Amino acid sequence: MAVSGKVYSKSDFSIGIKNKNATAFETAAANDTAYELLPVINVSAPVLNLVESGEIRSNNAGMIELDTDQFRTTKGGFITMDFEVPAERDMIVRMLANVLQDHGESGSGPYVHTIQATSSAALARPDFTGSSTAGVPSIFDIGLYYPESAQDKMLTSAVIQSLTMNFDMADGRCLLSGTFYSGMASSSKFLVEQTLSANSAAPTLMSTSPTQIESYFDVKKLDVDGQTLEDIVITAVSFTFENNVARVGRDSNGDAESYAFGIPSVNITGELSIMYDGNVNFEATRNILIDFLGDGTSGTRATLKLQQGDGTVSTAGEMNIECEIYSTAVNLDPNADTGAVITIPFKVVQPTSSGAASGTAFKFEYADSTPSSGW
Amino acid sequence: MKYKHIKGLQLQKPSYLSTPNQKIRELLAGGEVELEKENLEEFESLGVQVQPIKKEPKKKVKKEEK
Repeated sequence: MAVSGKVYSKSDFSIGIKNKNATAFETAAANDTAYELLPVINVSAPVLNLVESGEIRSNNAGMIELDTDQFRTTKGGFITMDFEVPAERDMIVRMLANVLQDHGESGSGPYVHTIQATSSAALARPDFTGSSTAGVPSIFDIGLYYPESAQDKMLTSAVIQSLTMNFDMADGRCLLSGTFYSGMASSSKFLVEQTLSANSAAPTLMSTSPTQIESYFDVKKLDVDGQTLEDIVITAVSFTFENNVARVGRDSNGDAESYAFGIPSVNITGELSIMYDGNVNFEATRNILIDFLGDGTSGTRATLKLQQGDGTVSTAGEMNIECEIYSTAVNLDPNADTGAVITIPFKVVQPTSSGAASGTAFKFEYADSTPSSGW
Repeated sequence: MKYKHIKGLQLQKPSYLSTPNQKIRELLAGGEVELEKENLEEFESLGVQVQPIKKEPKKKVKKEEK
């Protein structure tokens, strides 16, 4: 038999996602769904984490494991899939709402979205088999488009397990990277040899005017050393959201009956790189190290405010991020090419007052032209 | 009617707007630009704010009586 001379490129592969109501948690992804394009730069393959073992058993004189010693089952397994994608205006909210399972929406064009963890609007535990409101609980079916028909794959009821939102001024645009998680690994929910048929076997665009989100902020402030919010010059800032989503239960097919979420906690961490300058340095009242050292027994939290636009979040493309950060180190690079840079790894914490939760841990507000539910 | 840009147009990608590029550039430069109804509707859907320019009525000059 002659070899096949056909060679494929990464552009022949694509990833489509589609939100669905959590009431359909146990419903398998469909091959005629109009999946929407996740515009990844490089398509990754799903990783199958199956239950397996293979150990030599007794009464084997040959000392080599027998084929019958091997055990592998898709039942009880899970699937992960990594991705990296430039953030787009009509996509970023969908991703963030999914990883934090929180979303509020107002307006009708522009739509104003709020995703938050505050003392008055704390993250709520999602019921992954309940009914979705405002797109939450948010679960995705994923269609993996391969070059030829009858080669496509589908993942059922996936949730983003971790998501990093990276604003690096050197990249020029915001990049999202992370991992999808599906607790549906059986042959009836992780579907192979499929032909995704909607839209001439291609995912539709999330927006016909895809607008990438730039890496810049009109307002960027940090209350260094317990003082009032100082203007800072940012070279990069990133946030990583981890929800520890994991499958629970096992139905007759071996698939998850629900997902555990935020157990023991939802973690938001990040890294902030800023210029060592007249506002942030190591002098009294501007000493960023004091936030880390605190009173010697614990550090001091600081408020980080970032805005694209004028802060009103009323025009498509305007973004506000406000969070309370607790630095886990303070690193100075005096040798950076563009001048001395201070880098602060941090975790987001819920501020308190008199011991009780009070104020904003994390709040993301964004205006775009698309509702984030019902897609 | 002519309008002046207040906020938000700089966040939009001109190639995705049906409003002519020239008008967008003039608005962003702080100019007073004649806008059609469909331009205003497009701006409203995005939350872009523009302000109509009100022309002050010409004062009647009274002739001095000798």
